[in-house]
Amino acid sequence: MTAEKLSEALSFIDDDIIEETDALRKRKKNHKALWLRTLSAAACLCIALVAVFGTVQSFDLPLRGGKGENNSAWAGTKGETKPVDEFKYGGTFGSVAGSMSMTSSEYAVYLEITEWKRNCFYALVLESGNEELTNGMKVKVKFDKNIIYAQNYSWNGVGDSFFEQGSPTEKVFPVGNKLYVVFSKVRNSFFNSKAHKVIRAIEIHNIKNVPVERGPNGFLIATYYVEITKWGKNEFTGIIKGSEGGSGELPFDKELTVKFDENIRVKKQGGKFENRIPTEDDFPEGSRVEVLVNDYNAPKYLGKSEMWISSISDLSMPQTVLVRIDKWNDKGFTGTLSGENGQQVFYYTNHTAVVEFTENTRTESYEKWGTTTISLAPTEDDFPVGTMVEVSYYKSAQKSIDETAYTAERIWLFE
Amino acid sequence: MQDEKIVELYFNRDELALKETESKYGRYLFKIAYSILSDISDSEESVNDTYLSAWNSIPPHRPVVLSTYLSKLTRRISIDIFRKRTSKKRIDSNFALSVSELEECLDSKESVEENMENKELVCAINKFLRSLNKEARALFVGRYYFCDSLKEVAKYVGVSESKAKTTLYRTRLRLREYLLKEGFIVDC
Repeated sequence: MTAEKLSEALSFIDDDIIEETDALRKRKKNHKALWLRTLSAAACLCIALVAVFGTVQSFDLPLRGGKGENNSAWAGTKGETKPVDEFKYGGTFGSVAGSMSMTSSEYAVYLEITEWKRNCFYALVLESGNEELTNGMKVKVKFDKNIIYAQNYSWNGVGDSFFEQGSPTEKVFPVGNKLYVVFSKVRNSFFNSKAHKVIRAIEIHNIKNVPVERGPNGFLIATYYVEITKWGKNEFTGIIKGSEGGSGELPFDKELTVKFDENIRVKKQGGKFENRIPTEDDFPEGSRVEVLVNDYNAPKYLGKSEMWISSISDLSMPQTVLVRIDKWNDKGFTGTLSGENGQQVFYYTNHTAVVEFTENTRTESYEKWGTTTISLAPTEDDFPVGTMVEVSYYKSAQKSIDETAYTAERIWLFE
Repeated sequence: MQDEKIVELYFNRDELALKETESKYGRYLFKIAYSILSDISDSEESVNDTYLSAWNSIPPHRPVVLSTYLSKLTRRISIDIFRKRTSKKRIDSNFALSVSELEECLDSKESVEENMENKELVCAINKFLRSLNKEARALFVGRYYFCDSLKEVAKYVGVSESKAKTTLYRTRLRLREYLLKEGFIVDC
């Protein structure tokens, strides 16, 4: 099986799979057009209102319209949110922060349903990506038959594998269910602005019984991979080696202090979660740990949630080379360079790769999703002469015109 | 013009079908071709061949979604052009030239077994893609079917580039594991 064959086979995949992605590719443009149309309409309405009343009121133009009594230039109900073109959060789809970046005017919130009414329900905000919805606030969620919702869960625990279109009912999402809701605007309640906020849902996902990739209460977590350098009281300092989810944008190799309180849970490799404060004995200096943060707004809350040894300790996605092993030596092996970054390349002349190990060079085998066997110091028994391996490396140095040295970080078999 | 009407034009053997296809999907198809070939004239050739291929295959085919049907044709044609181009470059090396000459000894047509295996592979990939969540699937199809850049894919799926990279990496590992399990590749 070659990569070319695999790529060619992709030309024959089912149409609906292609259309699903193609729709996303087109969606961005449509949303922008909609946003422009809406803005133009709002501008026209403002001009018309000014013309009718013959007075020009002084408007403050906040970045985000809404909360002030008379500071909103956004046409619509008083207190309505003006869509913000760019949010500074990065993040993931399926996350509060991530959905905000899906389109220019979409937000997301985690809710718990408290009461059902006809074609709407009331809920409490558990976590929000919109400044106007704060934790614990009551909101009314309205929807129509055009929304999509997912009741079941996909492999990572977010309900997006089985979307249905239409109005969900109490039977689909009973009271007490935790949901992930994508919406576009926040409005005040018509009769009593302080009673609750109103949002109109675009997508609703069930998030109850969410396993592994979310925190114990089922909400979004951000993951940070940190190498511990120093311990303090109820905290440690470390170097960020990778991050995932949440804002996901912390720079690699920066120092970070991880604090934790009595709610922290600890899991050592191969063990179970324990509700206790971790100590230096659990994770000595030099250990790489996975820190889970129960909030999308990462560094501020870092370490308030959970921590355990990572099974995959580095997600920084280093550069890789493909090497066919020619000869083993006491520092590693030499071989023929055969490609880069997972792609086989035809080179016109032979180029020798001198792969050198460090004490941390390891090999990994993936048994199933989420389970990785890591072993240090790979040997010829693991990868005999003639084997094609993929090598991720910390650094490389060209030794001569046809020879490059690589300091290996990981090695695994390449097919 | 709506897709159904364009397809009707193909069925009526009206050459306006090609003009309408070009005006509606020309740029879309060019982008797909260019993502694979990175060459303007090759990409134009690929798109033109797509029109010809569509003309020859509709009828009997009646595509439900014309854009998808055309994108598949463009992708296959572009890969063919890419392959020809690469083999032409390889001929610069004496070794590659000798291999290319030896290829003539082989039957270039796919054997029945290979054909069956390819069909099974496509089925397996479909099954695998359906087992992914929406985000991972969109990233994978965007990157490896449409050949969009990582930046573009991350943007329209709505994730950061680093997240897209990580998800793609994991998806590739899962695919590898899946293909191993299904017997398409052999673990040494």
